[in-house]
Amino acid sequence: MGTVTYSNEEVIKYVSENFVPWRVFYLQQQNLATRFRIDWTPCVIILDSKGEEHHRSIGFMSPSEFMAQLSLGCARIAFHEKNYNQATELFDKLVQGFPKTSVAPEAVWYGGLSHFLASGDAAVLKSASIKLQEKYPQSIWCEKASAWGGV
Amino acid sequence: MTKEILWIKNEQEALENARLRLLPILLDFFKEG
Repeated sequence: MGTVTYSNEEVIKYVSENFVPWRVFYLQQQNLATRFRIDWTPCVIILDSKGEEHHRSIGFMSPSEFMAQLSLGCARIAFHEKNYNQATELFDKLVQGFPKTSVAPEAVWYGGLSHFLASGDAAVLKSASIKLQEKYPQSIWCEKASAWGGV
Repeated sequence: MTKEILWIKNEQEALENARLRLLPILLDFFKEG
């Protein structure tokens, strides 16, 4: 991560502008490793400003995958705090910015759900389902959205 | 723009920064690299 992802200019800019970066050398801080149930490194965790965990990802990630995972974490914070309009915007932005990453289908699903919870309009669920069928037909999130209707 | 990520090493400092800047925290557990 250090030689590829954390040295990437886009990653540096993205992290610096959007996060408070906190790094723990887990062999020297076993108390924190135990508290956060760390089994393997690298492991990145997204916490809200009160220190509550909302998302984590384990293992090496390329710069685009890394930024997508971080974006997912931010969107999940908004979702968990029931800021559904903001969550919809953040999930949509993730899909637009990182459409080929592993988390894009999940972001389409959660974006649809956030939009529905913000608006009460069931048609947005069907739209999300159609989008998943068109762009990510092999994804588990496409299967999950099949209950929402579609083509 | 900074040439590297300026990591905070202390939990209290990270929480205080997050509270003041209204930003989430990226917590990275690492072993090497």
